Amino acid sequence: MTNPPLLETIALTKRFGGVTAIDHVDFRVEAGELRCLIGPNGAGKSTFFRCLTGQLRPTAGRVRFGGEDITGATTHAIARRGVAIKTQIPALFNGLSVAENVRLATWKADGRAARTRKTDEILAVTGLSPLAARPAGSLPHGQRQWLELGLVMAGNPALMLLDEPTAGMTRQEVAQTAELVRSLAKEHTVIVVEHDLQFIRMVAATVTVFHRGQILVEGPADAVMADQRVKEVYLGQPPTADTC
Amino acid sequence: MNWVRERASLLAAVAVGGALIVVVPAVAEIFVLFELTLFLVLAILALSLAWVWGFGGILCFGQSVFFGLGGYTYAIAVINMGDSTVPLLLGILLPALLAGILGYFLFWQRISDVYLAVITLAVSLIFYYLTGASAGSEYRIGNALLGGYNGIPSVPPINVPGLPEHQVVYGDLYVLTAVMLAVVYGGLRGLLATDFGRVVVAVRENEERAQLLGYDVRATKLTVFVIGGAIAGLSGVLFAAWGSYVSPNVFAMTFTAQIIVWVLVGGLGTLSGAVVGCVLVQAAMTWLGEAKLADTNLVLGAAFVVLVLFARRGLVPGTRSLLADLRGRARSAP
Repeated sequence: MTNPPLLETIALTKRFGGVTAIDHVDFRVEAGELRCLIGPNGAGKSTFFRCLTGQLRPTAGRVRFGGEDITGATTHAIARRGVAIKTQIPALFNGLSVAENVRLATWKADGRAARTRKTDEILAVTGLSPLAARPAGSLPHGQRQWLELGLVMAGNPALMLLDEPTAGMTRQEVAQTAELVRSLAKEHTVIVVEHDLQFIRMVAATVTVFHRGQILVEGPADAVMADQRVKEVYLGQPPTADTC
Repeated sequence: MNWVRERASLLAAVAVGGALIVVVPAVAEIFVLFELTLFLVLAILALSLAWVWGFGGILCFGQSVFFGLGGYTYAIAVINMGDSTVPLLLGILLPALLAGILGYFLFWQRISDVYLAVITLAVSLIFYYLTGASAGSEYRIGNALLGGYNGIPSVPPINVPGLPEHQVVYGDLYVLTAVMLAVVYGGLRGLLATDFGRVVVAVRENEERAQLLGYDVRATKLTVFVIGGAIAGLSGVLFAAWGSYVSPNVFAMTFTAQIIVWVLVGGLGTLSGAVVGCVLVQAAMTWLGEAKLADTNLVLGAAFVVLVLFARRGLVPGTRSLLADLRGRARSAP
């Protein structure tokens, strides 16, 4: 018997009224994998993530995490099982300090001292130590992204879902984030939704292409980007600066 | 810097609390003390909403439900039992229980803020009409006649536990109330400093993020709501014991709106603000009522409008930032 995949969806479907955002998606990620999800806007990537975290209840199909069925479980219960997400628009505790934000995410650490240590560690890794006392609401966009990454890291989750972690970042920041994601992927299973192809090349992951709520292609980054269907999906539309 | 301010605010709270409990009863006349007792009773109620709304982020328009239920429970139970110990506890427990049941439906059904405000207000009005419709000798619980809109008169005072003949009235009731206020204030401050307290504030700041970090938002809000209900119930008990009287007016729209005004005047998101706002507003209303210079509600409404226009965050946060401004200016001056 082989180990079950860390995450598996079986015919996962989400409909909003007449619109099918996710259409019978069979998706698996093995433990330790780094996977990129790409696809044009409206392909259903974020909806797919929200079904995994329990923020949305799937219309049909199952979600299995670590071999157990978590379909329809509450968001906080899924989070406690070890699924953490960085949302597309950073969701932070704006009125609280940066350090307080991180501290709230260190629930896994046992005891006050351990939480403080973990908080300091995360602040150092994300380069936010000098801003620890600032309210999270006052941070510029790039640092909000990093703070939210810090919140995801602080819980030491088995599975990290990162929804567009480099959105709104400069070239240099994208490179730094790619570096960070690569190092995270050494100890965690990571799924990244990303438009930035440079980022995808830098993390050199397996790529799954979503199109109209379904999986179009899956495979190594280079092969997927050379795929004619993928080119059509992306290039069929007028290209923009960041998306290819 | 932060802990310096924290410590200063704690010292100020202890000083004010000590003065209220020790100094005031020693110097004030009995009539003044009697009046002050009411303000402090209502300040406890204000604290309950400051906690539920300002920290829990739950806009409860019907905090008076728990206050009124506490008062009625105490009145009915003490008339039947004689000794006030159990009625006092019931007056706290029953409102907490109601908050638990109401909160379960509100938070597990994910009722949004506006609807929650409307529902809690509606519950308050339901109680208003229910208690109002209880006139006549057939509406009695044991020896207690509910009395409709006339309310329940001659509610026995609180007594020393087990000793019904040792009544806690006038000066003693003042001290008891001041101590209760201090305990509630200190308890809430202490609670906010715990991990649970931090989660409460986190839920107020961003429910989605709190959930995604693994915190059960529903359970957190329910706990906040139940604690708030218990505190409001305690206030209601003291109110009924203070005036020896409770009537449907405790559930009236004007009263529940007043609680919100106290909290807003003092400053949402602070505990001390609720106490300051409540005492100031009540003192102003009492004075205006006695002086008969103008219609109390008119003046209060005008003052509220001015406050919303010029000190939107309320008196306590407004004063704090003014002080910080002045200090900053003094430091930057040559």
